Amino acid sequence: MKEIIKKIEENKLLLTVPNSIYEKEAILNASYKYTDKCYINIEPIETITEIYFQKKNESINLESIALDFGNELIDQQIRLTTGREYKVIREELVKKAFSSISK
Amino acid sequence: MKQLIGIAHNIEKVIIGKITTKNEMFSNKNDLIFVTRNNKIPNGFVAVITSNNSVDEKSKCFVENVENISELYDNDIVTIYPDGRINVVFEIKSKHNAVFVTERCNSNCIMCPQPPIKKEENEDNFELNLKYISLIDKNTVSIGITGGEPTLLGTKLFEILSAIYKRIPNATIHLLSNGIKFENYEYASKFAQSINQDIVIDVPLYSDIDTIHNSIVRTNTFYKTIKGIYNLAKFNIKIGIRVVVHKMNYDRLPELSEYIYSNFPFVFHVAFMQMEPMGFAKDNIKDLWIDPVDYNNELEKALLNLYYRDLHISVYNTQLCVLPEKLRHFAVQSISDWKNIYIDECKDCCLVSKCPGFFASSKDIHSRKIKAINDLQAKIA
Amino acid sequence: MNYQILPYRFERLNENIFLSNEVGEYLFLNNENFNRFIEHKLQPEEKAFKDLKSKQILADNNIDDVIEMLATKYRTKKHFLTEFTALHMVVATLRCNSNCSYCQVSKKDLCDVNFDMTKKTAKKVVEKIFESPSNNIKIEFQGGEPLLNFEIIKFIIEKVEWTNLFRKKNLEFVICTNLTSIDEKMLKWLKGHKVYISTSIDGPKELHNLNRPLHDIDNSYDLVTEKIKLCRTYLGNDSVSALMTTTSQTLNYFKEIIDKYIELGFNSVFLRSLNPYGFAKKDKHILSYPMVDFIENYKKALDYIIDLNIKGKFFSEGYASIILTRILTPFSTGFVDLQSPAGIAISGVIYDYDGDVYVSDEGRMLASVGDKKFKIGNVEINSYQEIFNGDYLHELIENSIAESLPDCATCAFLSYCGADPVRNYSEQGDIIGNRTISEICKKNKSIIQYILSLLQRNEKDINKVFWSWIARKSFEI
Repeated sequence: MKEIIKKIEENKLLLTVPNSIYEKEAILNASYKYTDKCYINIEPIETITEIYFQKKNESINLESIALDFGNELIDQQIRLTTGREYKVIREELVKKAFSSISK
Repeated sequence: MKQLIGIAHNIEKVIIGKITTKNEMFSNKNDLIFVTRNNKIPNGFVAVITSNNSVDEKSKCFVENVENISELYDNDIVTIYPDGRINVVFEIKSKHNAVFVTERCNSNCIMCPQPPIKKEENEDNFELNLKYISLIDKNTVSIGITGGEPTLLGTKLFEILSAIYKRIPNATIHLLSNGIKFENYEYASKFAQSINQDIVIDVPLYSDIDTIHNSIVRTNTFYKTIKGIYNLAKFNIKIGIRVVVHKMNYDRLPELSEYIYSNFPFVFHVAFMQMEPMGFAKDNIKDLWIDPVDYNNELEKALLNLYYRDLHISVYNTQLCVLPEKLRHFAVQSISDWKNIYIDECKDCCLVSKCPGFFASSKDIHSRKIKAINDLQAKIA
Repeated sequence: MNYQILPYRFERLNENIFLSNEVGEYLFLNNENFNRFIEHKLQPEEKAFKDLKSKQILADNNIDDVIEMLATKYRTKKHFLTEFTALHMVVATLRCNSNCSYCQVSKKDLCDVNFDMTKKTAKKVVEKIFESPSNNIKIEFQGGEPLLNFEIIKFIIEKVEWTNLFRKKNLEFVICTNLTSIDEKMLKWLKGHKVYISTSIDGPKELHNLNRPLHDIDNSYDLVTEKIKLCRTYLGNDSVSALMTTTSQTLNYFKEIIDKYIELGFNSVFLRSLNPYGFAKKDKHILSYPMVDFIENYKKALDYIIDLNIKGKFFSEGYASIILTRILTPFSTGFVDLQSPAGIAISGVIYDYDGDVYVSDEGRMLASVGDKKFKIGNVEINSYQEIFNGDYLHELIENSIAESLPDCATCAFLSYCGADPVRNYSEQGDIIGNRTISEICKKNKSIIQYILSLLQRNEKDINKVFWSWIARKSFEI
């Protein structure tokens, strides 16, 4: 497994992920999940995106966040990819549900 | 239905009439068919049925040499055919009387006990049925409408419904339909408008998976049936779901029960039933037969699913000894009297009077676990 | 493409993947099948394929028909929107003879009738209630202690019943009371008006008295339990229900509290966590506790209650019952806190003693500590249209649709949960809120996940208990 951890210090963590696999929105959604634990900064650089984490308090384990983040990112990307497939259907469903009862 | 046979005289077309065993001098004999053991044929009746075989009055309209006439009761309704067949279309002592409106069907179910025909055997069927309905005992509380597929009558079905309303407005109608025709909103709407009394439409749904259902009904109609159910529900018509269980669909009964609740929580009744091994069912028995005890597990899950979800449920055509004890009270005596039998094993069973028993055709095709219940503690519920 | 993936959400749960569709039908897949599902590799003969198709998470034909079915179910799930507004809470008075440790509403002088609702205001409240399009109207009297202004309760009930002779709505009345001041004369009157009683019991005597003393006496427990019996004599056995509020003092005694409820003849309890409004928020340091502690104790309590049921005692927990109804049935629930769009003003609304209208009880409580953010009008000044169809309420509701809130939008438990803008505002200072620090999100998510993992076990006994809670009756088989 290729490390996504680029740098880990006592209070800071830097992850890099390839833009060819993960979209901006997936990275944003995944990062959002850690906003309670860390201050986060996201920076796209050419073909990769760098995500900076800074601990909000001492008890936070950055290493486990790094590992966890990888899985979270995959799930977010799946949501985006499959979500695109059913997007139109979802819109139609809601529209149909709230249109008056038709034949 | 119950059938008697004799030698018909002067019957050129189908006659329908109500049975009487009384020859009262001043009563109106129109529509009455007199039953006797005598060789005298009284005047005024539309026909006479006699067990005698030495009738002299060859110019009158009668059937002679009929066995078992003691099975005919006052207020039964029979049809008499030129070839001497006597069909008992309405049995006063039965709870399962029905108007058999057509033999045609737009499904082609793999286990159909009465395979449909392309063209009606008797062109006068519709008129006969209207006549039949006008003769039905006024105290009747429940009447079926069955086929074939009754909705193939189109708007003529509404005439049948209004005739029933005219004769027995307080009875509950049980209409057996595959629901396909109700896919048409206009038809469902007109149908709903023609209803003035309590009615339940029983619709067969064999699987939660369209392809399985379709391979059973052998037409591509799963979603038509579903649309039909929704259309009927829009008019607040009570809907029952019927599931005939066999090898092709038993394994998903629990999933089917959840599907019914999720999609049709409004249904009035769900019935799971053993198949009747006649017609196509008999032809295809190899592909269809599974011993009912072998799907008790799935059946139990499905029944409990619906029971907890507060839906009315029944098990039809199923022998009590085959069912787990706690499910026995869901069993209903549902087999029409004339074809309902019990086998030798049943003689020593203490629950036989409450048991749905067998179809006559199941005599040799039934569960290996049929066994008399002798335990006096055995309860139904 | 061999099949179409339909709208669904997923979450990893206990080594499996939990999937739910837009209307809350769900199933579990193992990792391998989930991966094959999203890669379009499942085959029609496979059980996973059939199960996903049955739950309408995938479709391989007749997609329009399937969408039609989903739309019908979606409408059923969102039925509460057509019941605008079903629950009308009326504050009969702010006066109260209780001195509860966690009270959320400012206590007023027991004799100061300036904090009673007047007939003039009450008349306007009733007019507004009947302008609601909903066919079902439930009126809940709150306080303070509403029975201290029994005259206004009588006045409103009579007026509502009279108006309803022509309107023919389904009516229900509930009085939320500490019961200490109820007497036979009141009960004789209430008996003729189909009124239910909702009271508070915080547990065994010591705990109850600790949390809920009266101004003049400390032992309110004996008084309340005696009055419960009196109510049951007059109004029937099922006329009284009770709920409890968890403080740091009662947090570790759920078992004792449950036993006490059973002893007192109740067949359900509602285990409520403390909420951060009003006085409770001020006194947070002594009464409050971390949400995780509540959740852990709640789970244990739920296990205990389930076990009691399996042993033959029918007894339910209110919050779990609501969540189970949302998970397992195709129907909509009326519970204000778990709706999307949020139940504010849609499912419930509160009329304060002075005629001010708030989107929820919590909104009123915030007002009692000085923040009138959730006031949407006053019955004497504003028209129904101004109160219930104003731009401000529209804006609040538009921002409380969970389907479009960050994190909620992709949450697999969305259809069982809801948006709570008032709670978000009170916890975090904005109505949208950040889920990662939301206490209420933590609570709902944990409890929903716990209930789902119990369902995942698919044990006959547990399933039967759960369904008996939904049906509110015990089952023989």
